[in-house]
Amino acid sequence: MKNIESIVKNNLSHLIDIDASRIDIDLSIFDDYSLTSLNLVILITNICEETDVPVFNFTDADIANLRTLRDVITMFTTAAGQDA
Amino acid sequence: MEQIINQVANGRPSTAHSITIYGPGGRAVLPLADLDRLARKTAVYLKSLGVSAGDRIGIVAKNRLEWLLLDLGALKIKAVTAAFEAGKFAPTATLAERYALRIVFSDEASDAPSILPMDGLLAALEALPEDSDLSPVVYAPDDVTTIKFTSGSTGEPKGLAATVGSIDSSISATQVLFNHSSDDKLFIFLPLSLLQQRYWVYSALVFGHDVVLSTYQLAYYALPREAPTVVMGVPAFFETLRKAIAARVEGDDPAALRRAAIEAMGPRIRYLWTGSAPASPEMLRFFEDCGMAIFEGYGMNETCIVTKNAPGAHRRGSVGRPIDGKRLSIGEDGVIVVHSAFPVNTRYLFCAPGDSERIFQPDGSVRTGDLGRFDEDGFLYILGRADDVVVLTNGRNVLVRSIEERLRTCPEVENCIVVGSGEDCLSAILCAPRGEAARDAIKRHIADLNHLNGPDERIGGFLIVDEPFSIENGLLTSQYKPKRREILARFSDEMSHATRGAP
Repeated sequence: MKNIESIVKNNLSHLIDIDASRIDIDLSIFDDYSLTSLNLVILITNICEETDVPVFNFTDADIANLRTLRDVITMFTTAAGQDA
Repeated sequence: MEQIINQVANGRPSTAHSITIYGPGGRAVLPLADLDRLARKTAVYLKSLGVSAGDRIGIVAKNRLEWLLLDLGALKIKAVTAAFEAGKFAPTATLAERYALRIVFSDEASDAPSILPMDGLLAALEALPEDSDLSPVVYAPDDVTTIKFTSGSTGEPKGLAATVGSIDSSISATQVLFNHSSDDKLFIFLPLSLLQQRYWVYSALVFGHDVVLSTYQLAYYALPREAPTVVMGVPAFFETLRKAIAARVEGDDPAALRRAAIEAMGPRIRYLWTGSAPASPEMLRFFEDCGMAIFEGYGMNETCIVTKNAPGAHRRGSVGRPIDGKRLSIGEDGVIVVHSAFPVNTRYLFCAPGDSERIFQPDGSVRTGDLGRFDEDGFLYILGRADDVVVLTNGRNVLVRSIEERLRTCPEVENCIVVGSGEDCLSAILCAPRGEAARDAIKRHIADLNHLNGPDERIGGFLIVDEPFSIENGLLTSQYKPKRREILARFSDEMSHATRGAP
């Protein structure tokens, strides 16, 4: 499997048309990258597809607690059983 | 007009069609006959809790099977559901007391004795006998089945009790336009607390077609897997989908975009339904170019569906013609007034004095507050809200909605509002994810627009903000419309400086 961090960054870069190399995973996905709640849903869905992590693995609370891309990476890394 | 609610309450749907449910627990498929069987048991269960005809039960939960069972079960005993959007209302004793609810069912934990957890419902139904006797119920057009709550821009949400006649009339008229039938699979994901979303389940039970119920969190995942024929959405949903589809394709090759759209929604799309908020022309054109018909309509809580584009009667940019049972007039002030053969209601519940009178007219019509015009073929065009009119210091009235739409065509601009500036020109507050880095591109866009716009439509000054307009921060309504007053209040200090930096 590809590195989860690069998958997450690539998906965000496609979604908001930003160079993946300029993405700072510690910035706020809402305040700094201006994701709407629907954007976040589609981001998570796309990452699930690419990582083969079942989307049902995540609860509403898991999604609601996401603030940064690091949170997203950690969530997927944990779900995929990988080390961060 | 079909007797929809009486059929849903008393009918036995065929086993040929099913409901598929996506929720936190995964995917489940249930024949509609089984849904009805469980709903009958739910009715018996509600009676065992002391609920009887006319009693109100509250539902505060995200989309799930139990939500539907409570709604359908209540219909079978003429109890009234009060549908609260999860996240906006908390399941508390105060809620039960304020809205006179006998019981509240919720997917959130609560210590209040009047709040019952939904998680226990299916287990409780299992303990009930299979063939419980339920007397048939008869609904009259003026009977009420549910209370919906209007978001409102200020204060407590107002209640609106929906009559059976209005529900029957709306579903019947929609069926005339779209003929949902055996081969159809309708996809719904907006909250079931919005009554219109339940229409499509009622439609499945009465007209015989499949339906998929998802949470909005799982909607994009479920779509390609379920391959629906119809997607019931709102502009923000389709706009997000449009961007995601476009991002999958290098360049703008139409065939590649069509393939990507099919990958995202499956190959069986017959049409996409959008309403509740204005759809951008770009979004509508995008899906049409992808070979997917998308039909915009118009309505509000107080009127239900009023107009709708449909196969054979579609004009892009309009919101369609009035559906059966609706007649529209446009007042001298340009405001649309809706006359319904079967009104949703003629007053609000739980409202402040004067609230009902402001919108419900003595003859039962509804003054919408929206400005509109008809073309020569009877298609309605929404020009904006009456309160979208900005009065310039030169006394000219300017309708700013179309100007806002043109501003949003700038790729850097995610959202915006146009406001008065206290001068003889307009100002704009623009949300741009890149913030000040986008200033040059936005400035060029505004200069181009100013060149094309009439003198009263020119943007004199503008403010770029990178804080997104969202429901969470109170700058968008639940229908994803910018809240003009709140946005202006949030950025008023910065705005006073921005207007001096006019391009």
